Amino acid sequence: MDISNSIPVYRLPASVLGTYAFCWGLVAFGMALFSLFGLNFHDAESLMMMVGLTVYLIVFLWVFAAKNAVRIGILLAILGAVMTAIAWLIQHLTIGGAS
Amino acid sequence: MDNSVKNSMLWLHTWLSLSIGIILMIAFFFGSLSVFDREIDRWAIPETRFEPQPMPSFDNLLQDVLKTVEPNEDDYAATMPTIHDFSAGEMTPRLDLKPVEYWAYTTHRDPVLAAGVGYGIPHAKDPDGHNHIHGWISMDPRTGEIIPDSQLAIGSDFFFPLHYGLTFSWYNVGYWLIGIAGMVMMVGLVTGVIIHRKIFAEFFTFRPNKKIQRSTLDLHNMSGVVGLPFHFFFAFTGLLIFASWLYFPASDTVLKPMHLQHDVEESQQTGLPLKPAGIPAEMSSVDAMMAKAQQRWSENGMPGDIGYLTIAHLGDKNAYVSVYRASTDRVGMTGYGVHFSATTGEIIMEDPAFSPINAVSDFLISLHFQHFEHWLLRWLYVIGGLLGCVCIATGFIFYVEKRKLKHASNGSQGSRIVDAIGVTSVTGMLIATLAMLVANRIIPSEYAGKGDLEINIFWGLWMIALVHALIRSKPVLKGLTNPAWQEQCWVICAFGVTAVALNWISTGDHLAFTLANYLPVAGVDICLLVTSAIAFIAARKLSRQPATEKAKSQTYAKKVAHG
Repeated sequence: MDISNSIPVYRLPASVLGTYAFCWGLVAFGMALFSLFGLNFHDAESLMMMVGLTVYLIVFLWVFAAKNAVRIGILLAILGAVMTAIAWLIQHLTIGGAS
Repeated sequence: MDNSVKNSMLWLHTWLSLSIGIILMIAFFFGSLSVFDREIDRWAIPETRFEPQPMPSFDNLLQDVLKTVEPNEDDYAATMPTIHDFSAGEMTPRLDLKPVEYWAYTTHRDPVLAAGVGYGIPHAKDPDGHNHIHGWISMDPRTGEIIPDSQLAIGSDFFFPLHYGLTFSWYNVGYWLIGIAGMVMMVGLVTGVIIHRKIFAEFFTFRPNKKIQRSTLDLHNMSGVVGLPFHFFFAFTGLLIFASWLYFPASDTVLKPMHLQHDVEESQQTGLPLKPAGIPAEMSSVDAMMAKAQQRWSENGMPGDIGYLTIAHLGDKNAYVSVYRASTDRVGMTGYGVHFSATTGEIIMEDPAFSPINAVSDFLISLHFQHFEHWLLRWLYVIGGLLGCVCIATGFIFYVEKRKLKHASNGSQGSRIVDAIGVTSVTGMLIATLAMLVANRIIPSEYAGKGDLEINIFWGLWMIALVHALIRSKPVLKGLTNPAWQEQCWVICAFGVTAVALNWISTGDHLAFTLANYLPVAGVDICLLVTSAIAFIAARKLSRQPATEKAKSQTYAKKVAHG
């Protein structure tokens, strides 16, 4: 689609928010996973912040330029939610803490 | 390249940058000023124009001063209702709160010592959380004399927070806007490269004598490309500083239990108590601990000064004292902390070396903070930051130059509005900044609301600059230049010289004197004069607006009208 003459009413929020949700999930998942494999919690945190920001930039540009940006944005948001849930599950299983 | 991809990149580049441009400008410009924030503080608070001092004695000076600190009224009003457990009764009155932690911070660039107290909350909603009300002071470390609150440290307490949070902390909106601007900067750089793809040529292309549109684009490309690594780095690390707290706060939300468990385990390993024991105890000499810490650093081959001192669980048997090394001579802000039991004065532990991941993260973040001492590099930071401002400003101008003739013929207000915002974010911002400094030298230091008044003048003048730019923007509709650019340049020119003159009149510190005796103030004065000079040249140049531009716009309008 040629967007040079139209305002991307759905495309922009879909790529901004979809990518954000995806990166949120990725960060939480990565932190939980690396901690599970014995990496220091704050190391995992620092690492995933650097990864999360970089991934945001790349994925955002890709989604925005994609033909079916809205659909991809929604898919990414779902993926983000799933990864957040897995992160919570890993935490639940490893420390047994209620949250 | 696929045309639709290129189109979407162009859309992002133009519209995201345009809509957040003024915020981006604030981040870059006040970031550049923040490189010399402490020097601006000295200019603004003449009482503090003395040499930086080492950490003073705790036993004989700091302790007595810290005992006089009270919980901050604003912090109490804002924080207490959110962390107090009302089922346990009414909130503890502000002055009944007991201090539980002390801190003191000093740097190689600041003669003023910043110190503070954390007060415990007797009935906290979440006993595991950070339940403190804070109080803080600035003091003369030679005498312990407190510098009154009314004196705003314009550099470190206004320009610096403006740079990273717009001083607008309501729901963290300011931080979010700056964060979005940081991401937009990175998006702008990447999309800019994709749109042009002639990076190497653009390094060397600047045709100042061509049409405004052409030379603006050259300058936009050149400043973007030459500063590319610098701009990218600062946008990225700026985001990184706030990421774990604001953008991806997983450790404080979803993974909070994991985080807490880790901290408990770590505290068991390090022996630094997470919580007070509940048994009151006397503290031994903190001065002796500070001396011991310095001795440890010397033994490890890196003798240094104390930058930061904290005491946790004050007055409790579990109290401990942490002494951190000033990172004057290295990039990382790591303090090589030595931690002592406050009651016995024995070393509990010394900070281990960083893990590789944290070393990288610390290095990146510390390069952004530039707490180290390296004057050449500091100036390169300023130049890089100002180059970023050039890139943003030329982006505005290019948008207008490219479209104003077309808008002139079809009656669109687009370039008129963008031009006014451009004026506001370039010359308007400078006027606000300089007006604040001028006001600082006029308002007497005894006046209780001095700092607030200065801040109001800053925002007020900026608003006036916006209104002025809008009122004067009519010529843009005809494809001409907004006279506000030129008029505001004259104001900048006048304010810069006035500020320097007022500094001389109000303190007696003229440039010849400060150049020989106190460089921080001399540096600010010189920068003000240079700003005035550049504004003068710019205003002169703008007043000689080529007659051809007028003629050209008329012919163009006619041509379009005749189809």
